[in-house]
Amino acid sequence: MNIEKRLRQDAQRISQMQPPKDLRARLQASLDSVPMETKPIQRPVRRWFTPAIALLSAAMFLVFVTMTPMISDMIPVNSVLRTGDVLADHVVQEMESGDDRSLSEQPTTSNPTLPWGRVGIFVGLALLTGTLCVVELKGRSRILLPSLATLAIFAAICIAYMLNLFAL
Amino acid sequence: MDVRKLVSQAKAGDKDALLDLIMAREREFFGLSYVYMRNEQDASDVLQDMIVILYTRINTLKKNSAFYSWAKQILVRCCLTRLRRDKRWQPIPVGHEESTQHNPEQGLDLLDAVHRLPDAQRDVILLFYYDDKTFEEISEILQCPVGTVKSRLHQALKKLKGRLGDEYREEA
Repeated sequence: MNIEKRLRQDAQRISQMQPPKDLRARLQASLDSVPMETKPIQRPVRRWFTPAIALLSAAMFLVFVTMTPMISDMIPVNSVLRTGDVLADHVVQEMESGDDRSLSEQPTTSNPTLPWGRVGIFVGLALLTGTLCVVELKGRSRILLPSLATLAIFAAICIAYMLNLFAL
Repeated sequence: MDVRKLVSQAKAGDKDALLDLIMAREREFFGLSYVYMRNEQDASDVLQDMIVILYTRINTLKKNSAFYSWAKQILVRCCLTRLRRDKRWQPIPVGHEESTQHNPEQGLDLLDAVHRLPDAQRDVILLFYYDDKTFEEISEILQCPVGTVKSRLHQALKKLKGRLGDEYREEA
């Protein structure tokens, strides 16, 4: 007899077996031994959450990166990087104009305008990201707390850099 | 019976809904448990283990419509866990398969021969023939590609034919 046919016959024999009559009662007893779920049911994170966070992070990064030219503009003219050139130009100009003012007089420091607009956008995006994290990851403290901590540290460093706080 | 609705109720903590879902296919579940455990008592015990796990983990089930395949996946794992725990399950070491060949004097037990196959091949045979699952369903339950399922089935049948071929020819 073909082995496959024999297997099917054996399967049919087993499928005709009657489960024990007290099966329902036994299963019920097992279920009763499990404490009722008291904590709220944790629904899965919504589909749009991950793309949204990725998009917001990319936007924050973009805002930060586009700051670069503005930051270079913000460097005071008497800063370490530019003092030498500026002084040399200043001396040449003075010599050409015959001005006898003292060379010890320093050129005036520019008054850089801080990019408050962009910082505002950045903070807004960071707050939106944080709010989304709180709303979607509520009840999942093991994910929520590290996410918020990372976001806060990243945002603080970026904002400090944008406001040129490191140069002070 | 609306499976999705009952699964939703079970997810909300309704134990009776979960029980109804299982009892609606009690024969299928008991049969699958029996082919692994090979006695009624153990088969019932495993079903009890399974329903507790189902209740505690039902919220991890994403598709309500996939409840039965998910539940059977858990049942198979419960069976294997219990077999290992009871130390009645002795995997055949490589190179020692000859010693486990069927002895014609003991009578022919096909299920016994199936249980002497390597785990992966045994699972495919049990699910395909004894639980009437399709290749796709088996691949979902065992979490392996369909091609692997087919290959395991082919190898298992070849081994069974090799071991039991003579007896079947005599019977036929």
